[in-house]
Amino acid sequence: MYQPMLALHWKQVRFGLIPFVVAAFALPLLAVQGLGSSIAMMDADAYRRALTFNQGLLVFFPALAASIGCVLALSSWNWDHQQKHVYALSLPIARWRYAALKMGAGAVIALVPTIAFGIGCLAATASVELPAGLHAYPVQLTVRFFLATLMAYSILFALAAGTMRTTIGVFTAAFLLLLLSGPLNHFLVQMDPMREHVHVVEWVATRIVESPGPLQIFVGNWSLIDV
Amino acid sequence: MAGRVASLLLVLLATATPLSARQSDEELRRKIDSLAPLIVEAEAAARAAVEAQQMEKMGEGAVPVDTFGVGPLLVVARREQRGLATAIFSEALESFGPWLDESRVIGDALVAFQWARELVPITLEDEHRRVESTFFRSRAEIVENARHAVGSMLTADLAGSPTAGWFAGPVAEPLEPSRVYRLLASLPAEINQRCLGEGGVACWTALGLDADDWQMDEWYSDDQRRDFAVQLARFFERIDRPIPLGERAVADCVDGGSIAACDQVLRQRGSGRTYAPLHRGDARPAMVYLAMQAGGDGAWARMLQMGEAAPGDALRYASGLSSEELGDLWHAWVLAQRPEVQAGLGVGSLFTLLWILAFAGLAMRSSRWRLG
Repeated sequence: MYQPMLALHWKQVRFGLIPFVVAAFALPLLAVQGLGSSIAMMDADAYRRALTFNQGLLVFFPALAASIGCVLALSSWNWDHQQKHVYALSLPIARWRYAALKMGAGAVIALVPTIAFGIGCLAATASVELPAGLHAYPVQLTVRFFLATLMAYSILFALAAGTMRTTIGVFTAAFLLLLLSGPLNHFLVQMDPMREHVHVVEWVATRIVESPGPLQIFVGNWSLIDV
Repeated sequence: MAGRVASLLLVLLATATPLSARQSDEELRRKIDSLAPLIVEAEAAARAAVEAQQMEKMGEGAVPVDTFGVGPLLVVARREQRGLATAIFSEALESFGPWLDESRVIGDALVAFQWARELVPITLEDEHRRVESTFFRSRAEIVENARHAVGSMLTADLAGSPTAGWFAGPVAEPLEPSRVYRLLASLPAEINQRCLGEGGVACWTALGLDADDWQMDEWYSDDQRRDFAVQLARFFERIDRPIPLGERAVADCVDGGSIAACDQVLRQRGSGRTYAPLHRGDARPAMVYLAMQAGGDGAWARMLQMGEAAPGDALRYASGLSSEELGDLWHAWVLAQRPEVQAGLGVGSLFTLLWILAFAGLAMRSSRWRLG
């Protein structure tokens, strides 16, 4: 049962994945551009500029992982939505098992861009000669990339697996939080003036992106080359 | 507004007037120079207008402020934030030793403080620093800002001295100390690598202490200097510009590989400061801060006594330590600042896996197939 699911999902997504695979391979190479040439190795300014430029590129790593996760999640349910779930309902299989197989198929396909990313990282680090104090972290970064892809994939997968009512509920809750954060803050400040420096949306966002929040993997250290 | 008008006049003059043969560069320069007083006047008028506007707003807003002491500091804050300001500055002052009281500037200058939803103008006529932020900043950041305001007041104590020119930053522990470690580790200068491994005198030298204008041979290896000089010569050749490096020296360096010729090439390009490792960022201010902490009571007073002395002499005298001891102190500090590499991947990845499983569980429990 698993193999047909995998084949089906792969058929759905393979062409859409091509640009992401190319980007996953190319981004690490771009991130080391300018490092390692002799002029950069010597001149503090040139080296600092190159490193700063590369640090700026690092935001694209988690963004790419998130994009791949989204594409995989949406494509995994695309066929079901189009066929009104008739095919899935006709299978002699429990709903939970069907969803688990489908999710497993997407997770395996996520390995394709991850492997491209890993090769890109290894090629990039092999192309530069680093001074003694710096080290390359291609394997750790690839693991991080895979986990971030899976994280984005699982969130979107869960949303896409649910009913429209659930999706609307989640987004409405987020919207209401944004909308009501002002009055809520005002209320809190009235209750206790020392709370003026606590902002509800900021507090929630911090809980989400800081450990052990679900999105902490996206905001950690994504450096390919570090001390 | 007046400043803008003056700038516009300047631009119009520079662009609308054709550069004819009759109008020499000298004439143009004289005309532009004649506008300088006008610009100064306009800028002063603009500043006065802004201040008047602020005073007017102060009157409208009528936010009462208090002036009060926190340790050796004189703080001006909104009345309702007096307690908060006292707490913030007390916390900030904890990182300084008793030597802070010896500062001339700190006893005289004011610090304007507010941390609020909306900032109101707190107008001060005397010399002052500001620690002002909206509540989007965290408390930790505000404390850091307060600490740096104090650090920059200490620096003002040394204004014009060779030491202040050498470290050029606030006398406080850096806001992001890990950046100093990254700077030390990532620059390939030979001396940086020696400092990282050995500490002591190597770190002292890497910080450019007791340095004359040219220490390239102490900072970088022969190969590194030769490599850079060759690259430099090739760069001038590639852009097809006359080589200002001395053709003989270039030939001896590039073709003959003579390190003396390469040094000559590098010297002609810039001073030692151009190449000095660790002359940027917070590496040097951190050394001053650590030296003061080590010197303890009386350290800052001794530092002020050494106003015209070279930075190395001033630090040794103020701290009571030798160059090697100070280098070791800085080395131990910088090693402790090593950032967590690939942060969050350890335990964080376990949490991520748990979240992934949780979302998978939600997906399996979803109700799309339930009818009715």
